[in-house]
This record gives sequence, C-alpha cells and structure tokens, in this order.
Amino acid sequence: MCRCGGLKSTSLLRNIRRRCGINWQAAYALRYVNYVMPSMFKRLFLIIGLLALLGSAWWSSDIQQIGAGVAIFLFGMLSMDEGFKTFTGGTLEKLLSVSTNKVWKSLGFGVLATTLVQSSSLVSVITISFLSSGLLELVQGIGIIFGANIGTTTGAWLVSAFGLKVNISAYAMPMLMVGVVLVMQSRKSLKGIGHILTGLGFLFLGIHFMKEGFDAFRGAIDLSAYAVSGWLGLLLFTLFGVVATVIMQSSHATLVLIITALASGQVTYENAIALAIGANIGTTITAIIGALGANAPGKQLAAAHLVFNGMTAIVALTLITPLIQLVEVLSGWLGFGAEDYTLKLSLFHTLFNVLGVVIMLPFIRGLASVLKKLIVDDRRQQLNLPASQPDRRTETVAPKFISDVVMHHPDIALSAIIEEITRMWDNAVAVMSYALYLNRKDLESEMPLDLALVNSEIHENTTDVDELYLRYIRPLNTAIIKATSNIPKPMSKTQDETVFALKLACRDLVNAVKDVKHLQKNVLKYHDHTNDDLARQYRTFRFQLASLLHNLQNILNYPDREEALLAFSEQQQMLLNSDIVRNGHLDNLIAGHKIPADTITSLMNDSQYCLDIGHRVLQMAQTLYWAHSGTPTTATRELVLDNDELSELTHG
Amino acid sequence: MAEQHDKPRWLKRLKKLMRSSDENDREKLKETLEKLKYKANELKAQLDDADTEEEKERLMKKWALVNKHRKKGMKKLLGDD
Repeated sequence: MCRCGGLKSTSLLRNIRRRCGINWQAAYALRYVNYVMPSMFKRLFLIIGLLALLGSAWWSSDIQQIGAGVAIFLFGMLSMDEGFKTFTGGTLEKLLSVSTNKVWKSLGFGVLATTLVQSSSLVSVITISFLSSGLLELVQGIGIIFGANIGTTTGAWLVSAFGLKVNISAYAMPMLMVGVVLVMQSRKSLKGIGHILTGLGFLFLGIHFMKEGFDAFRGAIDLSAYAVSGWLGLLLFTLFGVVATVIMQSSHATLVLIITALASGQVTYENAIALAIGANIGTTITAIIGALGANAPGKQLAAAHLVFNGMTAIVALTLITPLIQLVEVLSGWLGFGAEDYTLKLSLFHTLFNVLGVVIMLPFIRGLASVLKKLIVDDRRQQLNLPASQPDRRTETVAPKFISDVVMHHPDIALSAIIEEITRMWDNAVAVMSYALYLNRKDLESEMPLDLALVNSEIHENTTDVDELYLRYIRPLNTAIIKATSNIPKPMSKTQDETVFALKLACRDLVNAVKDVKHLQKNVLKYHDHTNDDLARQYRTFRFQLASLLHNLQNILNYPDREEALLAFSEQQQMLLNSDIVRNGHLDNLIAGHKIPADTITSLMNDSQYCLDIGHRVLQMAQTLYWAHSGTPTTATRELVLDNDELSELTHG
Repeated sequence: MAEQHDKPRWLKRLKKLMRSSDENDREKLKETLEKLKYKANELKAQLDDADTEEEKERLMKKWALVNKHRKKGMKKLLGDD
C-alpha cells in the first residue's frame, strides 16, 4: 500500500487506533515514528547523498569518472531488467514451475537465472514476488536464493577474466548501436533484445569507466596507503562493503568496483576480500528493504536471505586464513599468476559462497519451517461467521496477495489476483452461508446438509448482509478490479481473456452476495410460515443454495479437469431444473390455491433471486477453477456448455 | 543403416515448453476429448449393468452430458482446421 497516501489520510490513524486499541495522541505518535520519520530520513539521505556526489565530482575529475562508471553500470542493469521483462506471457511462470519443484532444481534455477541476468537482487525480488503471489513455496524460494548467491559470483569471473584483460569498451559500442536501433522497433521480442543489448553495452561501458577512473586516480592519490591490516582491517572493510552495497543497491556493482580498484592497486587483496564479504551482507539489506512492503512470504524469504548470507559471512570471516590458503592452492592448479589478485578474489568469492550453500543446504527445510513459525502467513485463514449471533468484528479486510511487490510482472500479478479472488470467494461463501443461517463448517462438512439445515435456527439477531458485504467483500473487490487495470504489459492473449473473465466473475459474485440479502429477508419471514407449502418452498430455496455452495466447494478441489467440467455442467443443469416458473411448480401452487395470494409475487421474485445467485456463484466458481488450472486449459474451458445448450439436452 | 536415436527427454520438454499457447490448446483439446470418449464408454458399460431404472436414468443423463461436451469439442477442433 502506498505510504504517502497513508500519511495524508485520517483512515490510517483510524486503522492504527482500531488495531492497537490506543487513543488519538498515541496513534499520532505511532504514525510519526512508523511513517513520517522514515520518509523524512529518506529525503534527508537523498539530499546528503546528492550533495556528496556533486562535491566529490567537483573535487576530482577521476572520482567523477568512477562515479559515472558506477552510474552507467547500474543503468545497464536497469535496461537489462527491462529487456528480460519483455520475454513473458507465461514463459517465466512455466520455466519456474518446471525448474523449481525440487530443491536442487530451484538451486540450479537460481544459479542459471542470476548468471544470465547478472543481478542477484533482481532474482531475489522476482522470487519474493513469486512467493507473495503464491506461485512458489518457501523452500523453493530459499533454494533459488542460495543458487542466486552462487550465480552472482560469475559476474566477478567475467569482469576479472574478461573485462579487465581486453578493451571491453570496444564491445560496448556496437552493442549500444545495435541495441538502440532494436529498442526503437515495434516488435516486442526485438525491443526486448534491444534492451538486453543496450544493458550489456552500458555494463561494459561502466566497467571501462571505472577501470579508467581508478587508473587515473592512482596518479593523484594512493588509496592503498589507507589499507588496514589484521582483524581490524577485515571488519572495517567488511563494513565498507556493506555500506557501498546498500548505497548502490547491487552487490554486483560493488564487486565490479572492488575488482577494478584491486586491479589498479587502490585496495589491497586482503581488504578487497573483506569488501567482497561485506557486499554479500549488504545485498541482504537491499532484499530486506524490498521485503518491508511485502507480505509474510516475502518477509520470510528476506529473513532466510539474511540468515544465509550472515552465516556465510561469519564462516568466511572465521575461516579466512584457511580459505585464502585454499585459494592459493587452487590458483596454482588453475594456472593463475601469483600476482593475479583479481582472479584470486573471484575464486575466493565463489569458494565462500559455495561453502555457505554446502553448509546451509541440509538445514533448508528446517530453516523454512522455523521462519514460517516466526513470521506467520495468515493469508489463507478462512473467515468464519457464527450463524447463531451477530458478527462482532468491526474492521474491514484488506488485500493480502495483491501488493505493489507483485505488480511488476504480468504472470506474478495475475497469480496474485487469482489468489485474492479465491479469498474473496471464500469470504463470499462465509457471508452467504451466514445469510442462509448456516455455519460454513456445516456447509463444508460431509454431514447431510438437510440435517444441518434442520438443526440451524432461523432468527432475527443477525448482522445485516450489507454490512458484511462492506466489511469482507467490497474492499477485496475494489483492490482486485484496480489491480486488473494495473497489470503490467505485455500480456498473452490467454492472460487477457482470463483477466476479462475474472472481472465479469467478480461482478457476478458481488451481485450474488447482494441478492442473498433480499432472499434472507423472506427466508426469515416464510421459513416457518403456517402455510406448509409456502414454508416448504422457502426451505427448498435454502437447501438448493446451500447444496450448490457445498458442491462447488468440493468441485473446486477436483484434480481431474474433465470431471470438474462435467460436475459444473451437472450443477448448472440442476439449477435450471429447479426453476419453479419453468418446471411448472409455481403454477401448481397457484392453481391449487396452495399458497396465500399475497405471497405469489414474493415467491416468484425470490425464485428468480435464487436462480440468479446460483448462476452467479456457479460462474465465479468455474472461472476460478479454470484460472487456477493455468494457461494451457483454454481449450477445456471452451467446452463449458451454456444455458441454451443445457436446456436442449433437458428438453430434447 | 544408422541407428535411430530418440530425442533426449530434456529436448522434448524444452520443445513442449516453447510451444505456442495455440498449439498447447489444440493438444490439450485432443487430450480432453480422448478422456471424454473414454468416460462415455465407461458410462455406457455402467448403463448396461445398471440394476434400477433410477440408476439407468441418472447414467443416461450423464452420458448425454458427456456426449454434448464431446460434440462441442469436436466442432471446435474441426473449426480450427
């Protein structure tokens, strides 16, 4: 949720008061500490940072060149990010689903994805959004993060083995030229390739600028004179590495900066190692900042990232001497020169990250279960409204799957929207059972429904359905419809169709809940009426709706799509046959003077309400089922029969 | 004669993954129709063995429903050709 909006609105204050049970002054103080102060610090930090940058650029043109190198490098990463976003439309979702169902696969995916996009932060942000939208389990997410830590070490190898040995800017220029031309094309794939090429070009150019800057800077000032040896140096430079990564928001950029500085002799090998360890810790802080606005799974993953990188750093710092000795031995085997410290640093970086994974991998499931206990994910908690009494809650529900974090990628956004709609469906089932004077556990149990209906009491002491709608349905519907309009482009045709169908289904569900209100009023009035036929008809209405909801809840869990297809059709058929105007039952009641004349209109209207509610909930359940089944089911979805086709079947 | 090698599993999976959604839909539709055909045959067999009229009627209705879905699917498949 937008924090700035929260600052201006009094609804935030009201929410804080309600949730914490405190007075207005305390709520103001809490808002100041949680919202106003962080925002003030952010602005202050930005101003100081910009002034420091401009001041250092004015002080030395070499620093200006290094700074420009870092800026160009970071811009290149943004451009590559843009390029990778283009290749979507279900592909990313499919790739993730087939490559992360086992821990070793998610580890491999993390290594590969990070090697390709050269940004562990990007991979962790994507993983957080996948987790938040419900596409991934926490164990798989942790596996990806472990893999990303190994994958990010390939960047150091590329720079030290290739970037510093050849004139990298010579490759950057053609990439930029071709890339920019492709970016201007209208075809999505060409545009995407263009962004990736431009990104790579800028990465190379950034490295070149940093290298040149450090070389020139060496002539002016020798930073290596400020080198600190021993444990103090180790801890101090680890801290520098953390700070540099938090500022640049990229461990990869920090590492490139370290390697170029090491190549120019501006930092010592020992201090460069400490800086690299610091960069590993710093990258988790970036992830934690990213997870602040995320939901429970995002926070769980950020915590796992911190634990993993923290443990790896502790191990690396504790075993620093044996690790450096191991690097020396391996460097000899690999044929590195004795003075080739950039390659040795890359080797060290890879070794300590692999060591971290080897140490932590056996505890991955344990870590996930501890984090799940510490940071509780209550997003799938069901709403229960006790039918025998009014609802005592006053707070309205807020979306739990849809957030800013998931709105960066169409697949992830769509998945989060589907999860949120599932939650709205769940709340609607609770509200509708309540309106039918039933507990949802009675509705969902295996006990015969007629027994539950007989045992439940029809009474006046209930909360108004409108109030429940405003509390449990409308806020979710608003968030869902807003999110469907903000899904990032491009989307595939199937995704477009799914979104459209979901929007229609949401409208249906909202109207179904509203219709239940009208039905509830007359169920209360006529359920125990002295006229047996009238009372029986209202009991039938109640039974038909309760049984439809019960059956739909079951069908939604069918693993077999064909079975679900048939079961939905059967429900639709039953609904059509239950129409008392069509099947002649109303005529019988009227012709036989079985019901009082003044109830005929009510009965006819209520039968229509009953039918409408049935069709609407059926529509939502079907749409939800097919949306959950994934994209390659469009064809099966198209076999759904409409009312006319089903009527043909019934009446020949 | 050169020995005929099967394509490796990973290549098959990669091809399946890279297939367009239209191709996937067609494949899926064929698969669904196969399953529905199997279901219709199964229901027919159950219908022959049904003891009561009520059971017969229930199975008959379900069988008609399966066939209605199949008919719609066949139409769609032929329409795509």
